Amino acid sequence: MKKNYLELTKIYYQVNSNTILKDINLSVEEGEFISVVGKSGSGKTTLLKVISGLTKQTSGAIYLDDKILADENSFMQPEDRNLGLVVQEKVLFPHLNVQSNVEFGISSDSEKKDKSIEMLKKFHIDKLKDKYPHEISGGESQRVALARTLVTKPSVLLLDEPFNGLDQKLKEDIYPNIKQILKENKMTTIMVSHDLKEVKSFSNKVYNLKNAVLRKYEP
Amino acid sequence: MKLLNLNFWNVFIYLIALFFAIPIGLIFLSLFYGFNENFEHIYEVVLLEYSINSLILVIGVSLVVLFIGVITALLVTSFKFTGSKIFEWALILPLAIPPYLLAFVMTEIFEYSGSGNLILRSLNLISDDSSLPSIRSLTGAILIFGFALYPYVYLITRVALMNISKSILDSARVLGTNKLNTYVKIVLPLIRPAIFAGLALVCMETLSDFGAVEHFAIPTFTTGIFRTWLGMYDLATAMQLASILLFVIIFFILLERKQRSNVQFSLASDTKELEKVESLKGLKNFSASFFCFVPILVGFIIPVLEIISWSIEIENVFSTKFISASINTMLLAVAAGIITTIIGIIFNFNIRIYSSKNAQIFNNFISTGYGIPGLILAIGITQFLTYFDLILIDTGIVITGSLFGLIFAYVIKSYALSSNVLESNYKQLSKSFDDSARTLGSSKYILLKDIHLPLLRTGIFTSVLLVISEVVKELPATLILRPFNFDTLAVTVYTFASEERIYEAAFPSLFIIGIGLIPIFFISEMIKSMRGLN
Repeated sequence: MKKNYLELTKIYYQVNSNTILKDINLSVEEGEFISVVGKSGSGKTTLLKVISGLTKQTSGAIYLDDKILADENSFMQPEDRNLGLVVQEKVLFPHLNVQSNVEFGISSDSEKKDKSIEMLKKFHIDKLKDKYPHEISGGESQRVALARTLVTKPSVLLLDEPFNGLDQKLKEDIYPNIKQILKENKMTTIMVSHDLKEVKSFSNKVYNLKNAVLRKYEP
Repeated sequence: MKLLNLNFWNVFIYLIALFFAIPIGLIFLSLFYGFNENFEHIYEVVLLEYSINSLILVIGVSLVVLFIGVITALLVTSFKFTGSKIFEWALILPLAIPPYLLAFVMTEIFEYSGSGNLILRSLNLISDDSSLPSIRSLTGAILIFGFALYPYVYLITRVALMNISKSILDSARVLGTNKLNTYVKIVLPLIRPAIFAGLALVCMETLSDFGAVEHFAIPTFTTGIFRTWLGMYDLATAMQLASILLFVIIFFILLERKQRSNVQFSLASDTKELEKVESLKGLKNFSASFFCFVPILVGFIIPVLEIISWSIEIENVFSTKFISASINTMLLAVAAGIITTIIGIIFNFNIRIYSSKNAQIFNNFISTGYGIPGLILAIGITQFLTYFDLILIDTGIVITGSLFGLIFAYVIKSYALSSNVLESNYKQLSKSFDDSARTLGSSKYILLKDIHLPLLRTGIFTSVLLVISEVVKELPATLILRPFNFDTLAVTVYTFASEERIYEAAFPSLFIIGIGLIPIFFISEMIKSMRGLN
């Protein structure tokens, strides 16, 4: 049996008296792709922010490969967690071209160029390397954002409705490419989305976040 | 609950807030020293006069700025008339001329042999032996401040008017209210907080002024403080007088803040400019144009033309004094601009990254520095630096009288300008950039250096420019805190005016006005973008 790679235990997140996440328990195995569906405002994005460390949980603990990311006594900053996050908004840094965007997270100067070009090739967007974010389409932007995240070899990839806003035709074009890359990299992934059809095409498991509670999705 | 989180960013803001608070704290502390015979003398003989003059000045200036500011704002926002598009931005131009400079120029124009009297005599409107009444009076000062400061009320009222939803006005009309009543019952109550916020700023500026009232020889709190300190050499009493003035100023700061928050509260989210429903014709058209033209004529065109006429009389345009004053001014202004902007960046970065309430509270607190009169700041800083010198006595380092105090005063006075610009620029930056950078492994320092700073460069540039324009005009703090024999443009103009060599002040004055036009450009661009003209 595979061991749990990412584990969330008894996570609560409250703002004033409003409970956004309630007793969240989640175990993800290495290389697994799980999805969380839920209505807009149900707390899906908050869940990813809590895992990534961008938002601190009110209580509970998060473990990655048996290391504590956050619990009652300790909190690892997001930059130290090695988790990749791709969100639905345009997040490419507008003052950097595509290649510089992808190079941003690579710490070794000598490897920056080779690694970024290699990743851009995987996503078939190496021709865009000199373009700036405002010069490329929405679908291309999302692929650059994914490339920028994957090039850092994150332990877990967190996807927050990354394909929202793209038309169906474009989604169908880029899905196989992304699936293949994630599979090749054995990437442990958590994706949140409101589109059940989309998540089913990617996921090993699907969860439903409703009234702040996370449950396994049962059709 | 954890109150203080001691990382670099937080320690920095606590220290800065402390540094900003000390000079003001020392002023208030003086009230506990006990009152000496000088204070008793001032209390018995002149304090009432200072108070009455300051009160008359504030009330008179308020009435003038209300009359000019509100009516011009209503006219250019609600009607179309000859020149209305130009008046929209030209009505801000008097902001480029500080009140003391307008006072110097108007004094010269109203002199027996001044250009005002010469023109009237050449037109046979007055006889050769008669002249215009002297402007150097309380009434003259009220008019000078009125024409120099009305843009504060005009600007804030205009912006409030532009934000009133047309649907509110339509509803009132449909409910049977006529046009005049709609203005009285709907528009005026909606813009009232904006008017009071602008008025509070004007009152602060009026009470803070030193150059104009001193030139007109009007005994007010600021001239009294100045004389007590540098005439009677009694810093303790000067600080006690300053405390009294500071209480009044703090009242106006709080009033302005409260009214500003009410402005946002009272305006509709559906922001559309009041529709220019009526094109004025005939006498109404002429009257509207005339009413908007007069404040620009008095507050900007006449003084600039007068100064240009002085410059023609000058033989040695680039005198050593002018060149050295220009270099000194620009060095100080650029240094203050850079330091203020760095502080502004760190505060606003901290507020953004940590969503820190403490940082927000401290930021609001140090932003109130703009309201503290330069003269009072100078007294507080002098006292502060004197304590510093006592600590450093064995090292031989003397800070009092160095440029440090001067830059310190400028930073406190102009911090709000810088912070406001950076805050609004930060609001335009998506927080997703921060989230992406941090999950890609960036430290906070890298996030600031590689993402925020390049994306904020326009805001940073604007902030530095705005601080420069503020510093170039500043007079009272500069006059007191400058090192011996170190002149700036404002001090040069003041000195020439005091020595009745006003023609020689022509180029320094034009330089000050030129730099003062910088914020006007940014303000008019902001209004343009609000109107969707960009």
